[in-house]
Amino acid sequence: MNYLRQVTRHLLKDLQLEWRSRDAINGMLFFSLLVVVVFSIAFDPTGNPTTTRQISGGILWIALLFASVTTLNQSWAREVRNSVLDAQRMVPAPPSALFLGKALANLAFVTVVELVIAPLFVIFFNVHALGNGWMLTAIMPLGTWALVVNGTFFAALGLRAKNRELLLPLLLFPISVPAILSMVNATTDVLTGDVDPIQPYFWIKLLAAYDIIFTTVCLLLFETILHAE
Amino acid sequence: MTWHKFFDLGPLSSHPHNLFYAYAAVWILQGGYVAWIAKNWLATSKARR
Amino acid sequence: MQLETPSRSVVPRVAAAAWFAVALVVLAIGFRQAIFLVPTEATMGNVQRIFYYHLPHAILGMVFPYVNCAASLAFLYWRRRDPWKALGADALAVASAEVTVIFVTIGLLTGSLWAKPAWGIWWAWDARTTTYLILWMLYVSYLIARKFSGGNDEGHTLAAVISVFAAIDVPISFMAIRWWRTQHPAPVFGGDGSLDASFYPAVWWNIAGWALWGFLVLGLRYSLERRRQRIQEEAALEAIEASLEITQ
Repeated sequence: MNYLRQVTRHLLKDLQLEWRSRDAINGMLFFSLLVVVVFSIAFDPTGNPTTTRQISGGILWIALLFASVTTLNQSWAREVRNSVLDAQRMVPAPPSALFLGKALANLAFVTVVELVIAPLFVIFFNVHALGNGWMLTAIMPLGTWALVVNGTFFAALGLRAKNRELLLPLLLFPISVPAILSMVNATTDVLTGDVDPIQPYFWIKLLAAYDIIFTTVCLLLFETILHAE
Repeated sequence: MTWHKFFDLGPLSSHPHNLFYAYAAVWILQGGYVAWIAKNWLATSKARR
Repeated sequence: MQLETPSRSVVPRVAAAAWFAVALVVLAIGFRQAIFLVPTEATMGNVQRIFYYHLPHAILGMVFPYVNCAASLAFLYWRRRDPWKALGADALAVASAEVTVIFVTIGLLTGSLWAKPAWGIWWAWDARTTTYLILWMLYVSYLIARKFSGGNDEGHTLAAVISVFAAIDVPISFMAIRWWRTQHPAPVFGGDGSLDASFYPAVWWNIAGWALWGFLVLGLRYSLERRRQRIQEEAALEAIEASLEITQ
């Protein structure tokens, strides 16, 4: 329970810092809005409703992926300022608690963005779920966690590298391919509803397995990253 | 198959000659990598003395 | 620390030269088998002979990532215990990552040259091709990340961690892509599981030849990296000695 308290402490600290500035959420919101608008200019959503339905799941996740990458880099920059990270290295608390708190905070930020962007999607692309819409309540958090947990880890990994803004997407995108594949396919299946309703379950299961495996790996290896030199 | 047929490239659009391109590409890439290692090896020898 | 003087022993050099000669001979036999001796495949014609170079590279491209993962784990284990051994593991990791990229690149390239006459398209997003593309991307990003994170011990640690992630990711993306592709119609392609026995000599000689070649190149790249590390250590040692002389 002690560990849980430490995680909560880190999480609350990050939420409080974000509440004061609201930089991350505002930035992500506007960025993902821009991506959605650019995509709706690139093709004609009103003219091709069927195509729109088929690709809007992919567009939603691409917007969220790009938006979260912009923020994940910043989430550790906060710790580097005033050498907070050096202080974190010396505290007796397990380093994975710091990581878990940070990842949960990022999950919260991206979830807020999703809650705002989803209605905009319905308006701009005129989509509504033809399949089991409630499944999205499982797909969205699992997919977001898959992006955020690895993203937070690689952002920490790239902290002291040169070109770290470039390094994060470079590492995150290839590693996330299975997750992106599952979340996009599951979302598309739910939105189009033209496959048999069991099929999204496969993708949700795969996504859950991906989440469990990589959360474990991140927690195990974070200490190595934090004390890399 | 004969050597003549292997090297007979013909027009670029005719795909039977992809065989030659594939084998050439393999040797260019593998040989190039070994050459790169050799070049760096010699460069480190020079740095040593 | 007493560093051994750079080995002037001729044994490794002779062994490498002998290995190189054997690899070239086996590859020459493999080439002769593949191009001249093995019967022409009925439906595809001579273009099918690309397969004899494609298959060994595709198989070996799946072997070297395991070397990379094992070396990275060894590095993480030795990092605090035995720095010089850890550096050796790191040299093996970078060598195997580069060799992986070379072999997978060739696998993709020859596959593409084969796909055009066979399926009429250069690139079909079928399960196997896509998996290899992801594999290629993972190890290219590993090499780029290595470059970005600097050549110090910290950079090596970060690279080792990335390598572990990549190795875990490969089987997961393999499964994901398999599921993805079996749901959608994909170009029909002949299973290469059902290969007639008359083609075996070309297949086996080439697999043996390219395996000999691949592990030789891996060894050469490893010794190059080791050599660089030794020069760096010597330079660092000399710098320390020089600074001691000044203070005296």
